[in-house]
Amino acid sequence: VNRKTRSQAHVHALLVPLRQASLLIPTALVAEVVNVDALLPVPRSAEWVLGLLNWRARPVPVISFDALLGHGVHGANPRSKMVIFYPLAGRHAWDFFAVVSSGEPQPRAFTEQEGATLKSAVAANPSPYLSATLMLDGRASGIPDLEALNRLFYPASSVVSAPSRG
Amino acid sequence: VAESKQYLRIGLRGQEFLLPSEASVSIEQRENLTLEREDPRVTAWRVSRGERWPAFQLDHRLSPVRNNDWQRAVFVDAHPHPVGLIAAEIQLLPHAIVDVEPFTPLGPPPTLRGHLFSGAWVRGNQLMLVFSPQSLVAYLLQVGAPA
Repeated sequence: VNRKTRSQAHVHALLVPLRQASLLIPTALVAEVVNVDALLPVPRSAEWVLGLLNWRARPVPVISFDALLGHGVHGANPRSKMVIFYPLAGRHAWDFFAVVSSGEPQPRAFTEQEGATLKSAVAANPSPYLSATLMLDGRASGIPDLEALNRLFYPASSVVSAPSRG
Repeated sequence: VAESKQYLRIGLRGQEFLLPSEASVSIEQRENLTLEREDPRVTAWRVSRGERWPAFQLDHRLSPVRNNDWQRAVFVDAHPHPVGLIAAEIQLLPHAIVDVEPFTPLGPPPTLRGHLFSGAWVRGNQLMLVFSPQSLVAYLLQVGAPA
Protein backbone atom coordinates (compact mmCIF):
# COMPACT_ATOMS: atom_id res chain seq x y z
CA VAL A 1 0.00 0.00 0.00
CA ASN A 2 2.79 2.37 0.90
CA ARG A 3 4.53 1.67 -2.38
CA LYS A 4 1.31 2.37 -4.28
CA THR A 5 0.73 5.58 -2.34
CA ARG A 6 4.22 6.79 -3.09
CA SER A 7 3.94 5.98 -6.78
CA GLN A 8 0.70 7.95 -6.97
CA ALA A 9 1.97 10.95 -5.06
CA HIS A 10 1.39 14.01 -7.14
CA VAL A 11 3.06 17.36 -7.47
CA HIS A 12 0.44 19.84 -8.48
CA ALA A 13 1.41 22.71 -10.71
CA LEU A 14 -0.07 25.33 -12.96
CA LEU A 15 1.16 25.72 -16.51
CA VAL A 16 0.85 29.43 -17.27
CA PRO A 17 1.19 30.37 -20.94
CA LEU A 18 3.22 33.45 -21.81
CA ARG A 19 3.80 34.85 -25.29
CA GLN A 20 6.84 32.73 -26.20
CA ALA A 21 7.11 30.25 -23.34
CA SER A 22 5.23 29.01 -20.30
CA LEU A 23 5.74 29.11 -16.57
CA LEU A 24 5.40 25.96 -14.48
CA ILE A 25 4.32 27.10 -11.03
CA PRO A 26 3.63 24.91 -7.99
CA THR A 27 0.02 25.55 -7.09
CA ALA A 28 1.03 26.14 -3.48
CA LEU A 29 2.48 29.48 -4.62
CA VAL A 30 -0.75 30.64 -6.27
CA ALA A 31 -3.44 32.42 -4.31
CA GLU A 32 -5.93 32.74 -7.15
CA VAL A 33 -6.31 33.04 -10.90
CA VAL A 34 -8.61 35.89 -11.87
CA ASN A 35 -9.91 37.58 -14.96
CA VAL A 36 -8.14 40.61 -16.29
CA ASP A 37 -9.25 43.92 -14.89
CA ALA A 38 -8.10 47.48 -15.39
CA LEU A 39 -4.62 48.22 -14.05
CA LEU A 40 -3.56 51.48 -12.45
CA PRO A 41 -0.23 52.66 -13.89
CA VAL A 42 2.54 53.13 -11.30
CA PRO A 43 4.72 56.02 -12.52
CA ARG A 44 8.51 55.63 -12.44
CA SER A 45 8.29 51.86 -12.23
CA ALA A 46 10.47 49.33 -14.00
CA GLU A 47 9.24 48.55 -17.50
CA TRP A 48 8.24 45.01 -16.47
CA VAL A 49 5.72 46.41 -13.96
CA LEU A 50 2.39 46.67 -15.79
CA GLY A 51 0.49 48.37 -12.99
CA LEU A 52 -1.63 47.77 -9.92
CA LEU A 53 -4.56 45.39 -9.76
CA ASN A 54 -7.39 45.81 -7.29
CA TRP A 55 -7.66 42.25 -5.98
CA ARG A 56 -10.01 41.68 -3.06
CA ALA A 57 -9.63 45.34 -2.06
CA ARG A 58 -5.81 45.03 -2.06
CA PRO A 59 -3.43 46.83 -4.41
CA VAL A 60 -1.40 44.09 -6.11
CA PRO A 61 1.49 44.84 -8.50
CA VAL A 62 1.23 43.02 -11.83
CA ILE A 63 4.33 42.10 -13.83
CA SER A 64 5.08 40.97 -17.36
CA PHE A 65 7.17 37.81 -17.01
CA ASP A 66 7.64 38.00 -20.78
CA ALA A 67 9.64 41.15 -20.17
CA LEU A 68 11.78 39.42 -17.52
CA LEU A 69 12.54 36.72 -20.09
CA GLY A 70 13.59 39.33 -22.63
CA HIS A 71 10.55 38.78 -24.83
CA GLY A 72 9.25 42.33 -24.68
CA VAL A 73 6.60 43.92 -22.50
CA HIS A 74 3.20 42.42 -23.20
CA GLY A 75 0.01 43.50 -21.53
CA ALA A 76 -3.17 41.51 -21.33
CA ASN A 77 -5.11 40.17 -24.29
CA PRO A 78 -8.76 39.01 -24.27
CA ARG A 79 -7.69 35.47 -23.22
CA SER A 80 -5.31 36.61 -20.52
CA LYS A 81 -5.62 35.84 -16.82
CA MET A 82 -3.95 37.31 -13.77
CA VAL A 83 -2.12 34.72 -11.69
CA ILE A 84 -1.95 36.02 -8.12
CA PHE A 85 1.10 34.81 -6.16
CA TYR A 86 1.35 34.63 -2.40
CA PRO A 87 4.04 36.93 -0.91
CA LEU A 88 7.58 35.66 -1.36
CA ALA A 89 9.51 34.32 1.62
CA GLY A 90 10.23 36.94 4.25
CA ARG A 91 7.94 39.56 2.77
CA HIS A 92 5.02 41.45 4.29
CA ALA A 93 1.69 39.67 4.44
CA TRP A 94 0.33 42.17 1.89
CA ASP A 95 3.10 41.66 -0.70
CA PHE A 96 1.07 39.63 -3.17
CA PHE A 97 2.07 40.05 -6.81
CA ALA A 98 0.57 38.91 -10.09
CA VAL A 99 1.77 37.64 -13.44
CA VAL A 100 -0.28 38.25 -16.57
CA SER A 101 -0.72 35.17 -18.77
CA SER A 102 -1.39 35.06 -22.49
CA GLY A 103 -4.08 32.38 -22.10
CA GLU A 104 -5.90 30.14 -19.67
CA PRO A 105 -3.52 28.52 -17.14
CA GLN A 106 -3.73 24.73 -17.12
CA PRO A 107 -3.50 22.59 -13.98
CA ARG A 108 -0.92 19.81 -14.21
CA ALA A 109 -0.09 16.99 -11.82
CA PHE A 110 3.05 14.89 -11.90
CA THR A 111 3.62 11.58 -10.19
CA GLU A 112 7.05 10.83 -8.83
CA GLN A 113 7.69 8.67 -11.87
CA GLU A 114 6.71 11.49 -14.19
CA GLY A 115 8.87 13.82 -12.17
CA ALA A 116 11.84 11.58 -12.85
CA THR A 117 10.97 11.61 -16.54
CA LEU A 118 10.81 15.38 -16.49
CA LYS A 119 14.41 15.52 -15.36
CA SER A 120 15.36 14.23 -18.79
CA ALA A 121 13.36 17.05 -20.35
CA VAL A 122 15.52 19.77 -18.86
CA ALA A 123 16.45 22.32 -21.47
CA ALA A 124 18.92 25.16 -21.53
CA ASN A 125 17.91 27.81 -19.02
CA PRO A 126 17.83 31.20 -20.72
CA SER A 127 16.96 33.42 -17.78
CA PRO A 128 18.34 34.36 -14.36
CA TYR A 129 14.73 34.49 -13.15
CA LEU A 130 14.11 30.80 -13.84
CA SER A 131 15.53 28.02 -11.72
CA ALA A 132 15.07 25.49 -14.52
CA THR A 133 13.50 25.13 -17.93
CA LEU A 134 11.71 21.99 -19.12
CA MET A 135 10.27 21.02 -22.47
CA LEU A 136 6.57 20.30 -21.86
CA ASP A 137 4.22 19.60 -24.74
CA GLY A 138 6.94 20.79 -27.07
CA ARG A 139 7.15 24.19 -25.39
CA ALA A 140 9.79 25.64 -23.10
CA SER A 141 8.35 25.91 -19.60
CA GLY A 142 10.30 27.74 -16.95
CA ILE A 143 10.14 27.30 -13.21
CA PRO A 144 10.43 30.72 -11.53
CA ASP A 145 13.47 31.25 -9.31
CA LEU A 146 11.80 32.72 -6.25
CA GLU A 147 15.03 33.93 -4.63
CA ALA A 148 16.03 35.74 -7.82
CA LEU A 149 12.56 37.30 -8.05
CA ASN A 150 12.80 38.40 -4.42
CA ARG A 151 16.09 40.18 -5.15
CA LEU A 152 14.66 41.76 -8.30
CA PHE A 153 11.39 42.88 -6.73
CA TYR A 154 12.79 44.23 -3.46
CA PRO A 155 16.40 45.30 -4.14
CA ALA A 156 16.46 48.04 -1.51
CA SER A 157 15.16 46.03 1.40
CA SER A 158 16.30 43.05 3.36
CA VAL A 159 13.86 40.47 4.61
CA VAL A 160 11.15 42.18 6.60
CA SER A 161 10.13 41.23 10.09
CA ALA A 162 7.11 39.18 10.95
CA PRO A 163 3.99 40.36 9.14
CA SER A 164 2.08 42.92 11.11
CA ARG A 165 -0.98 42.94 8.96
CA GLY A 166 -2.98 40.32 7.16
CA VAL B 1 1.48 52.79 6.01
CA ALA B 2 1.27 55.43 8.74
CA GLU B 3 -2.25 56.60 9.39
CA SER B 4 -2.87 60.12 8.23
CA LYS B 5 -5.57 62.37 9.68
CA GLN B 6 -6.37 63.82 6.29
CA TYR B 7 -5.23 63.44 2.72
CA LEU B 8 -4.79 65.84 -0.15
CA ARG B 9 -6.13 64.61 -3.46
CA ILE B 10 -3.81 66.03 -6.10
CA GLY B 11 -4.87 66.04 -9.74
CA LEU B 12 -2.03 65.94 -12.27
CA ARG B 13 -3.82 66.00 -15.60
CA GLY B 14 -4.80 62.40 -16.23
CA GLN B 15 -4.14 60.77 -12.88
CA GLU B 16 -4.89 61.65 -9.28
CA PHE B 17 -2.70 60.94 -6.27
CA LEU B 18 -3.02 61.24 -2.50
CA LEU B 19 -0.58 62.91 -0.16
CA PRO B 20 -0.86 62.73 3.65
CA SER B 21 -1.90 66.25 4.57
CA GLU B 22 0.62 66.59 7.41
CA ALA B 23 3.42 66.55 4.81
CA SER B 24 2.09 69.78 3.35
CA VAL B 25 3.29 73.09 4.79
CA SER B 26 1.35 75.30 2.41
CA ILE B 27 -1.13 75.28 -0.44
CA GLU B 28 -0.92 78.34 -2.61
CA GLN B 29 -3.17 79.71 -5.30
CA ARG B 30 -1.55 80.44 -8.62
CA GLU B 31 -2.04 84.19 -8.23
CA ASN B 32 0.10 84.13 -5.09
CA LEU B 33 3.06 82.57 -6.90
CA THR B 34 5.69 84.15 -9.12
CA LEU B 35 5.93 82.48 -12.50
CA GLU B 36 9.40 81.44 -13.64
CA ARG B 37 10.09 82.38 -17.26
CA GLU B 38 13.75 81.47 -17.72
CA ASP B 39 14.62 78.32 -15.76
CA PRO B 40 12.84 75.43 -17.58
CA ARG B 41 12.99 73.21 -14.51
CA VAL B 42 10.93 75.49 -12.26
CA THR B 43 7.36 76.54 -13.04
CA ALA B 44 6.80 79.05 -10.23
CA TRP B 45 8.13 80.31 -6.94
CA ARG B 46 6.58 81.08 -3.60
CA VAL B 47 8.39 84.15 -2.32
CA SER B 48 8.10 84.79 1.37
CA ARG B 49 10.28 86.49 3.96
CA GLY B 50 13.31 86.52 1.71
CA GLU B 51 12.99 82.83 0.82
CA ARG B 52 12.10 81.38 -2.56
CA TRP B 53 10.41 77.97 -2.67
CA PRO B 54 10.41 76.33 -6.12
CA ALA B 55 7.36 74.59 -7.51
CA PHE B 56 7.64 71.92 -10.18
CA GLN B 57 5.06 70.74 -12.67
CA LEU B 58 4.71 67.05 -13.49
CA ASP B 59 2.38 65.10 -15.73
CA HIS B 60 0.48 61.92 -14.83
CA ARG B 61 3.65 59.88 -15.44
CA LEU B 62 5.52 62.24 -13.10
CA SER B 63 7.62 63.51 -15.98
CA PRO B 64 8.44 67.22 -15.95
CA VAL B 65 6.01 69.17 -18.08
CA ARG B 66 5.15 72.79 -18.71
CA ASN B 67 1.69 74.11 -19.45
CA ASN B 68 -0.61 76.83 -18.21
CA ASP B 69 -3.51 74.66 -17.12
CA TRP B 70 -3.00 74.71 -13.36
CA GLN B 71 -4.46 76.50 -10.38
CA ARG B 72 -2.50 75.63 -7.26
CA ALA B 73 0.72 74.30 -5.79
CA VAL B 74 1.17 72.20 -2.68
CA PHE B 75 4.44 72.74 -0.84
CA VAL B 76 6.01 69.84 1.03
CA ASP B 77 8.40 70.22 3.93
CA ALA B 78 12.02 69.80 2.83
CA HIS B 79 15.52 71.04 3.59
CA PRO B 80 16.72 73.77 3.22
CA HIS B 81 13.25 74.97 2.21
CA PRO B 82 9.96 73.41 1.12
CA VAL B 83 9.45 72.34 -2.49
CA GLY B 84 6.20 72.54 -4.40
CA LEU B 85 4.19 70.36 -6.73
CA ILE B 86 1.97 72.14 -9.24
CA ALA B 87 -1.50 70.67 -9.51
CA ALA B 88 -4.53 71.14 -11.70
CA GLU B 89 -6.62 70.72 -8.57
CA ILE B 90 -6.18 69.90 -4.90
CA GLN B 91 -8.89 68.64 -2.56
CA LEU B 92 -8.73 67.91 1.16
CA LEU B 93 -10.21 64.53 2.08
CA PRO B 94 -11.06 63.46 5.64
CA HIS B 95 -9.47 60.29 6.92
CA ALA B 96 -12.84 58.69 7.51
CA ILE B 97 -13.52 58.28 3.80
CA VAL B 98 -10.01 57.23 2.76
CA ASP B 99 -9.15 53.55 3.14
CA VAL B 100 -5.45 53.19 2.34
CA GLU B 101 -4.00 49.71 1.87
CA PRO B 102 -0.22 49.25 1.87
CA PHE B 103 1.75 47.81 -1.01
CA THR B 104 5.43 47.59 -1.84
CA PRO B 105 6.30 48.87 -5.32
CA LEU B 106 8.45 46.39 -7.22
CA GLY B 107 11.91 46.97 -8.65
CA PRO B 108 14.54 49.60 -8.04
CA PRO B 109 13.27 52.73 -6.26
CA PRO B 110 13.46 55.91 -8.34
CA THR B 111 14.85 58.04 -5.51
CA LEU B 112 17.52 57.72 -2.85
CA ARG B 113 14.72 57.89 -0.27
CA GLY B 114 12.95 54.90 -1.72
CA HIS B 115 9.81 54.33 -3.71
CA LEU B 116 7.40 57.14 -4.48
CA PHE B 117 4.34 55.29 -3.19
CA SER B 118 3.57 53.50 0.03
CA GLY B 119 -0.01 52.46 -0.48
CA ALA B 120 -3.17 52.92 -2.44
CA TRP B 121 -6.63 54.16 -1.64
CA VAL B 122 -9.14 51.44 -2.45
CA ARG B 123 -12.49 52.88 -3.50
CA GLY B 124 -14.77 50.11 -4.66
CA ASN B 125 -13.05 48.82 -7.78
CA GLN B 126 -10.86 51.93 -8.11
CA LEU B 127 -7.33 52.53 -6.83
CA MET B 128 -5.44 55.78 -6.19
CA LEU B 129 -1.73 55.90 -5.37
CA VAL B 130 -0.56 57.45 -2.10
CA PHE B 131 2.73 59.36 -2.16
CA SER B 132 5.43 58.66 0.38
CA PRO B 133 6.21 62.30 1.38
CA GLN B 134 9.97 61.88 1.86
CA SER B 135 10.34 60.15 -1.48
CA LEU B 136 8.20 62.76 -3.22
CA VAL B 137 10.49 65.47 -1.84
CA ALA B 138 13.56 63.56 -3.02
CA TYR B 139 11.99 63.15 -6.45
CA LEU B 140 11.08 66.84 -6.75
CA LEU B 141 14.63 67.79 -5.78
CA GLN B 142 15.90 65.41 -8.47
CA VAL B 143 13.61 67.08 -10.99
CA GLY B 144 14.94 70.47 -9.96
CA ALA B 145 18.58 69.48 -9.87
CA PRO B 146 20.86 70.95 -12.54
CA ALA B 147 21.39 68.56 -15.43
